[in-house]
Amino acid sequence: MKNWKSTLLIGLKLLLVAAVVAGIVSFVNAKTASVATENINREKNKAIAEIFDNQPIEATEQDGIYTVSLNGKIIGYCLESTSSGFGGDMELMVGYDADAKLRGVRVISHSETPGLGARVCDNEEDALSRYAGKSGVLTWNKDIDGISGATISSKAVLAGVNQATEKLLAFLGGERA
Amino acid sequence: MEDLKLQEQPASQEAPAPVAEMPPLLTVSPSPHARQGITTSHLMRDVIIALLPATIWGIYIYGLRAALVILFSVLSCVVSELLFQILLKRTVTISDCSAILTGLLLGLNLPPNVPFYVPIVGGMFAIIVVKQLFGGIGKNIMNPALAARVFLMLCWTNQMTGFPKEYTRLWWSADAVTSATPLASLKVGALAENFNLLDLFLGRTGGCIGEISVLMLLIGGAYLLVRRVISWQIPVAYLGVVALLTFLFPAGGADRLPYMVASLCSGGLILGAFFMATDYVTSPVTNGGRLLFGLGCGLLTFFIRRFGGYPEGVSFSILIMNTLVWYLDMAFKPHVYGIQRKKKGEKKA
Amino acid sequence: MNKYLKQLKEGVLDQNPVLVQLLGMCPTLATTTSVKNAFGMGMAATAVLICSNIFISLLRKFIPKQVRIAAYIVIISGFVTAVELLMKAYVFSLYQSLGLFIPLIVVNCIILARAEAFASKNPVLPSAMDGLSMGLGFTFALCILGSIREILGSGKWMGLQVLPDSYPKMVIFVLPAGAFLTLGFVIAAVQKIRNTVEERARKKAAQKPAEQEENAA
Repeated sequence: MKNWKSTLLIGLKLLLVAAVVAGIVSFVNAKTASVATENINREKNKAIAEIFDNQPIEATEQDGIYTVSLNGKIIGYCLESTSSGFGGDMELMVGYDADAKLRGVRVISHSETPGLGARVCDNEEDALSRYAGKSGVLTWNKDIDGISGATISSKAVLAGVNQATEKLLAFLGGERA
Repeated sequence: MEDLKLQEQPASQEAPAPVAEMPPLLTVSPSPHARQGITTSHLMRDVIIALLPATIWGIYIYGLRAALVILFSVLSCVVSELLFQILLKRTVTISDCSAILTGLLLGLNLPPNVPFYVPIVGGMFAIIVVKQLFGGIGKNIMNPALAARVFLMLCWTNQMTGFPKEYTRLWWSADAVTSATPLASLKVGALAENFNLLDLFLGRTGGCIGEISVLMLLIGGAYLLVRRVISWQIPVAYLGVVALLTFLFPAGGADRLPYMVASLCSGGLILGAFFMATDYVTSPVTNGGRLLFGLGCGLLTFFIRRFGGYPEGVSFSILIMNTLVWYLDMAFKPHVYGIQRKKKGEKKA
Repeated sequence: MNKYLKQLKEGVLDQNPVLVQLLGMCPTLATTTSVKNAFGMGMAATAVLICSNIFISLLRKFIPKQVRIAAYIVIISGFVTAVELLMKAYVFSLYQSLGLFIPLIVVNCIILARAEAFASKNPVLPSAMDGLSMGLGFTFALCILGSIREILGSGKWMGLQVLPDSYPKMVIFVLPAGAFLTLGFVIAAVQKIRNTVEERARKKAAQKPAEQEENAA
């Protein structure tokens, strides 16, 4: 008879410990949640600002598409895109001019190998700058090629950019229709 | 009873017999025992001679700088071994020529336009880390020259993958126009446009100093086979598997036969199959083991070249198989006469 | 006071969790690509170590033996989550560099080992001190590795260029292969130092009785 009582007591003690810990965690979360989301947004805004040469732009977001306007006139769009890199997911911010021509690409987060794939993310050898001025869905080796030692990362960037381009074209097509 | 005179011991007493990883054998037959007189340095010298055609061709194609790269590599290996053994108060064994051979092999595996610190650091890594720290000759797990090459590839990828165009005879400086290698083109399926097979075979294309001329390497390989320094199992199994797989599955829908020949003739495949996979210390002892070893190397090379991130698979394949040699040998342990293998059921009883 | 200093010395040197006890190697290998990351990881793990040690020590009479491992894991993961949330808010770039390895602090052997071996059997203050000393030892080991890897692999230390620009970066040291190589050599060096110190201590101890005899005579 004593057995189930002592087991219950053990279980209850464990429950209590877990409850206290959960309380501590939720407390910390409540205090820091807003600051955390602000941080992520700050990174994204920084990317958008860089793509548009730090002009005093305004960006309004809808369904993951940022419409960028300067002095009330739309001058372009920015889209987030995620693709599979060598070491994990790669998050990109892809910027376009008002006519859906590529303006710039920034890597917001990645897990590529430093010295190899990461060189693409740091825009070495103009790995990212080379996208500027192109339009439409791009083909590997024809429109864009990679940098030495970072083929997979370069291809991942291309995939992400194409993804964003398709999404933008669908969005614009829908708007115009 | 004169015929029972004891065999005179040869003058050189160190490192008796070939550099074998086999345990000391108990000779059961009565004397006299005829010694072959082959020492480690004899074998090393044979391999060095076998490598000479490829070396000379590489220097001919790439000029003085290629010779300097090889020279620095050899010097680095020999000096590293000497200093290591002196400083740690061990017997100095540079006279067995194994360091020289490692240096030569490493040098042949480098592009001619590498900065000089590449062969120097590579030599130090090969001898000190891969060979000596594991116990010296006979005790290393991996091929030192190959492991050093991989180390250098990871350290200085750009320097190690920029090959000058063929016939660029470099002197002291390393400025040269680089071009894609046959392997890189193979991977993309653009081989036919860039290279022709005869050039690949004779050695009129770019690449590492020692790997460009298949013809020269085959001459060396034949020399080694004739001199019985290496046995046929490893190169035949290795090249056979690669040939078979590339014939059956050409990339990008290329024609089978050219693709197969191109695959065989590019990268360090012939160099690896004859000179690096067959290294005594790091390859199996048994014939069956050797066949499996070659098979494994071939499979891995094919897969890495086709599906891996690097265009070159030979170095990694051989190194991976090096680590499996113990198991391969165990699988083919010779049956001791007189002992019956236990049947499965008996174990329980 | 002396007792706490001794604990500190043990944690950082004699019983260094990474270099001597060979615990927590995974984050050691993964996060030491730069000193900044190494230090950040060390500090995060130290924070968790101190908090969990204190908490577990406070509850050591309360937590039943049969479920103690489950309880420790709950407590440790709670504190790791709290630390992660704090990092996400206040040191965002470090949070991004360390990425996956912050939640992996939960399975860092050091923390569970100290909980089981020390905090569950000792009062709060010594447990806190133990957490601090082991954490500092961990950070110390990480920083040594991080320094070697960052200097050899990118010519920088803490992001500052310490080697000339023309230095050909040995990229392998920021890759996992280089991590293993470096760790191996560092542990070998530490062993050599420990052996030498031990030798000298033994020689000294052997001399002492001889000296005492001389003095007595």
